[in-house]
Amino acid sequence: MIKKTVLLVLFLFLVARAGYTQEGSYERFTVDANSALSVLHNAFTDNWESPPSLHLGTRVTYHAGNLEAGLRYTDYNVTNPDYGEADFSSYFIYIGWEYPFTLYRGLTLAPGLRFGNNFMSFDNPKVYPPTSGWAAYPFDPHESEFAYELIARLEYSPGTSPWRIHSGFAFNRTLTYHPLSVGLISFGISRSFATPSWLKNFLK
Amino acid sequence: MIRLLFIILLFLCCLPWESAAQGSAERRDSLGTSIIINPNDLLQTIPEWDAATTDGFTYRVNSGLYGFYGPQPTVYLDDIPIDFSFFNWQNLNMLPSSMEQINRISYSSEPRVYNQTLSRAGYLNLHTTPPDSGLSLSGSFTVGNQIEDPGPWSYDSSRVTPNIDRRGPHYFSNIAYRSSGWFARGQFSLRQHQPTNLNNHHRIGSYSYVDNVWHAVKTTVSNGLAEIGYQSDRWNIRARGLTANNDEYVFFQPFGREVPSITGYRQLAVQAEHESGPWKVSGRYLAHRKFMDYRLNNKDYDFEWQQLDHLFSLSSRYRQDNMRVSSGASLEISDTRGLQMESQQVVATLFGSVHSRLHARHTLEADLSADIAAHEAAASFSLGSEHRLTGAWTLAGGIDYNELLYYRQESSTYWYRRGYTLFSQLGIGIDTPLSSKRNRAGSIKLTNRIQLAPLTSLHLEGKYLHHYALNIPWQVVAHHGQQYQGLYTQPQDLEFSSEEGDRLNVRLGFSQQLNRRLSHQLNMMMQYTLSGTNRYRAYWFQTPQNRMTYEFNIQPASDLSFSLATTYRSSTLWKEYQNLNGERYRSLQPQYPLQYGTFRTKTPSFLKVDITAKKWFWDRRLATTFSVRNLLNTEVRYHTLGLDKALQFVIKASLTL
Repeated sequence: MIKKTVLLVLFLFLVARAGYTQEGSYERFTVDANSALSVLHNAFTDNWESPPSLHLGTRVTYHAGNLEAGLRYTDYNVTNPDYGEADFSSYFIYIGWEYPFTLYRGLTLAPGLRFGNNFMSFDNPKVYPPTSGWAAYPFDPHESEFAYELIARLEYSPGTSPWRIHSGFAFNRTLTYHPLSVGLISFGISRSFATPSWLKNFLK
Repeated sequence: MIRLLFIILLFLCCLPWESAAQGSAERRDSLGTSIIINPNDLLQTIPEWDAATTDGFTYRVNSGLYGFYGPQPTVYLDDIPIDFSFFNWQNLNMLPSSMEQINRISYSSEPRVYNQTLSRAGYLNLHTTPPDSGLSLSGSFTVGNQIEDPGPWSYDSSRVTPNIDRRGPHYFSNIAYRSSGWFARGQFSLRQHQPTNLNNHHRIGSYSYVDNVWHAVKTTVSNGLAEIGYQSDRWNIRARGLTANNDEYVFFQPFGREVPSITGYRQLAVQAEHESGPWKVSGRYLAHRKFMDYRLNNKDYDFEWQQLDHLFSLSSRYRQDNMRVSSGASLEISDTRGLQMESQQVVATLFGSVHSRLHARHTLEADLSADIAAHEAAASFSLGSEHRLTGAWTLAGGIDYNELLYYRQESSTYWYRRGYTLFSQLGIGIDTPLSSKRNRAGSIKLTNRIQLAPLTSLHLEGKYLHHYALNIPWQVVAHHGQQYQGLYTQPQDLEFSSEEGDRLNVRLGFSQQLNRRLSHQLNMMMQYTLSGTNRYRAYWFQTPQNRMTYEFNIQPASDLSFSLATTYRSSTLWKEYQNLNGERYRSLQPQYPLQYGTFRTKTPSFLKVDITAKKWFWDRRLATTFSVRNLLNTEVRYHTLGLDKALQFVIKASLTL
């Protein structure tokens, strides 16, 4: 998996070099807001379903590509009655890097890689033994686990407007003992700013 | 993977190096890496040393002379020793220092008197950055996690796993003030860790459910330091108070398992140095108090162990032309109490050394020390020379003979012989007679240092070591897997015998500074047992024969750096635990459906890759570090009872004002 990831990133990097256009480091600052739907089917998504996720992210130009950071919130509800009250909330906090290149006038494609932490908050943590007898052992209602995400975002900027619309696909994998893999298709808007000098000074 | 790394290494070695005007070759003891996050990470940076851990947070160190269960290297913070050693278990996380403060380390594997203190198994000296002029504040926050938590699958009893490894949060804060020659500083650190361990099941069943409450399997270390000092051309005076409290699951080898313990340390030190012409006179008073007890005690066990030491030392150094002569003495008065035991010990140490440059290319060095206790004495000496054969090739050689008092070995059997009846509480028998001999060893060492280019160096070293007498603690452990009542590991009789044998250590080191922003280094250690008794051979099987580390650092922009560290460690064999081989690790309380692999006496060889990215903000006032450990998620196990250190990530933020 790691080898495939490295090869994919390398491939995207090489392909992107041709159309890559980049402003100076820290010159542009972008805020993204979008919502995402889960589209993959596996043991996890077959037993837990979620309404659309909410995502808030930021990007800043940095040497080659953009540095980014953000948060995605997803509410998971169990669909398998064998698991009882196994609903939980997921907060994926990440930092990442993307490499945008121009496909056509105003249209860019940005493949990228994100690393972060998936904080899980369980509404009713599991207790062993389930009958809650002597020395009942409750699992921690809060867990956090390393997660990585491969993304490809298509973004359209109409004219010189700072507003943009974007759509993307993200493959996210949380490395629990039995990994949680989700594929997300997102739609959202972005707003781009000239980075304020105080923020530029902070980032340097 | 190994082939790929080798090809990368070969490629880098073939690159034309560039002489950078502002760059300089990394000194062996400089910390030119961002991989180090916790004090215990320092142990992984010393090529000659190896460390074993059961919880991934605390380590036992083998500096080459005594193995994992013998005396540990002495730790110094700014030239003043700290003694965190409890029955030869030692935890550097009890240091109230941040890695950002430590700008250089110096170390040695040789048992010598260093800075007026006998370093029984070598030393590690951490040098911190002096405070800036005026008022300065700094702090850091670190948090991490190991993968393979159960997540929502904890609701599925066929899939549940017990992983709870959480690193941190760790906090560190520092306040300092400097004006002309005076400075003062205060520091505080709080480090927490919830480890994953094969023994978790045992702990959950036997220790953590106390007074109808489940206690988290958690380590908490809180440390503080206050220091004032004065420095001038002639005077260097410092006074320091230090405190460390550690709530821990300590792995004591004689118990065959980890024991929920409290270890504590207090230090008061006053040190003064005066330099006048060729003379330098140093004096120090050091008092430290160590204590150890049980925590989460549902068995009514009791350590009640404490030690109060007063150490006085005085030394002088005379340096003129090509000659440097040092001599001194120290006096240690120790009062140790535990259960019914009360033990007083007085040890005087006399030491001296001569360093002479016989010729512009040839130097000679000799050290001598005598350790004198009430009923025994131990002597050590070494003789070495260094020869610069060509402009690029330096050859050094030396012989060393070392004796170590039984008292200095810090074996638990020493206190047992003086009436400390801890083992009977745990049902551990003692296989008498216990050795009370001095440890005695002799070695011959040959070192080659070759400067292949101005910023490229090669280090070749061979050391032959003969143990005339090495006291080895040996604790066979039985499997005790009875449901509800089981202890999982049940220690049998403790043996402590004097063994004899020969070892050969070979080290190959290579470092290259390709340019101002790019450097890499390779170290290989090979350690072999040439001959010895069966117990001697079995003891050293616990240490890996071959180790390799490769580190690569690159700084593509002034505010960004990346590091890669690769470690290879060959397999080890722990014969003390052969009764557990093939047993399934699971909860002995059947109501908890936890299981975690099969026990193996042989820990496998592994290749571990760590990567770290560091980004500075706000004109380098704020630094953020993101590190992924064991990127390939291979089975990384340093002790047969220890955890498998799966892929983990650590995030750190440091602020300096």
